[in-house]
Amino acid sequence: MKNLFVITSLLVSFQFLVADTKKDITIQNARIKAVPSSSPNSGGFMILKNSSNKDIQLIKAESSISETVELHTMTMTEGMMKMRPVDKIEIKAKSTTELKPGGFHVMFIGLKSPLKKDEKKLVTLTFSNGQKESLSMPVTEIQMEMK
Amino acid sequence: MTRLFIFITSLFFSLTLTHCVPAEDQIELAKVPQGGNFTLDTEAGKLSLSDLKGKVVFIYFGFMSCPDVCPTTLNVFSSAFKTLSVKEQSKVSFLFIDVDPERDTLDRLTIYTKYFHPQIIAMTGSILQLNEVAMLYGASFQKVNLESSMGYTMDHTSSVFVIDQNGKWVSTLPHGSKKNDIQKTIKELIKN
Repeated sequence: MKNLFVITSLLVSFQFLVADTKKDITIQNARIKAVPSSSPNSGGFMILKNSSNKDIQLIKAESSISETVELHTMTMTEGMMKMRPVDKIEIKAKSTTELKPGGFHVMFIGLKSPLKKDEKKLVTLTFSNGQKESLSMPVTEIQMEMK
Repeated sequence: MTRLFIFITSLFFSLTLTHCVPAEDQIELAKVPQGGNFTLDTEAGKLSLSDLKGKVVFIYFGFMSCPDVCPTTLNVFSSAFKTLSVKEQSKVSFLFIDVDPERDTLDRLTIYTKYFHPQIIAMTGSILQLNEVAMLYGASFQKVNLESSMGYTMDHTSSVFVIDQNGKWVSTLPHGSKKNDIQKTIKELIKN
């Protein structure tokens, strides 16, 4: 009886140990913009939610759908749209960062083949907390969402 | 003599100061469109704005490597055009003026614009020609080298310039305008 109790306690404790590697970042509404067949690039958008007490950054995005994948942002200055690459996208502790049209996005540079609407594409995201997520992102029409 | 000197010096300084306006005002003044006719290349040959008299024309400066702002703008205009009657659709046109002729050729540009709507026409030209057109509408664009496998991007004005059926610039729709803003503009401007 005592042995059974010890074994059970050990197993239960082990569960708590393993459960510490829970997902700090959850991802919602991930999608890739449908673009014409002659367009060399496209953008990926999503909502990143950080449920931990520490700031976490999205540091890398990878996919085989394009030659390169980078993280980019858009800013508007004096009526001019400017796109720039960024090393990381921050998701502050206990908050949400949205990658959306007119702001942060995953940039797929040099699409290897035309994107077809409703097709799903595999994209892997790496975060600064060691979390790695592989997503199946649908290709969709994206309407004006800013303003 | 001294009073004359002081008077002349003051006059000189006053005149100099009247040329100085705050930086923000200078930018605003430079950006007010005057509008006007222009001719650029399309896949079907040269096209002038004056060839489109009788139509409500929307003018936008963009480029194909833009993954977000340009397709999003073309999307919202095409969805607005699709709500028009066949007759109304024949009375509108959208000129996508491509400011990246180094990478964007007219054949690929036409595939690009026709994906969105048949009334969207792709145009481009030399950088000099593009600059002249941009200046008429108070728009700007600039090549910016990037630490990116893109090589470079084009910073560009993202507003849409609205031309009436007489070829005259009448208003500017800011980036982010919704489908019903565009529909309202079209309905107000189609007179015949």
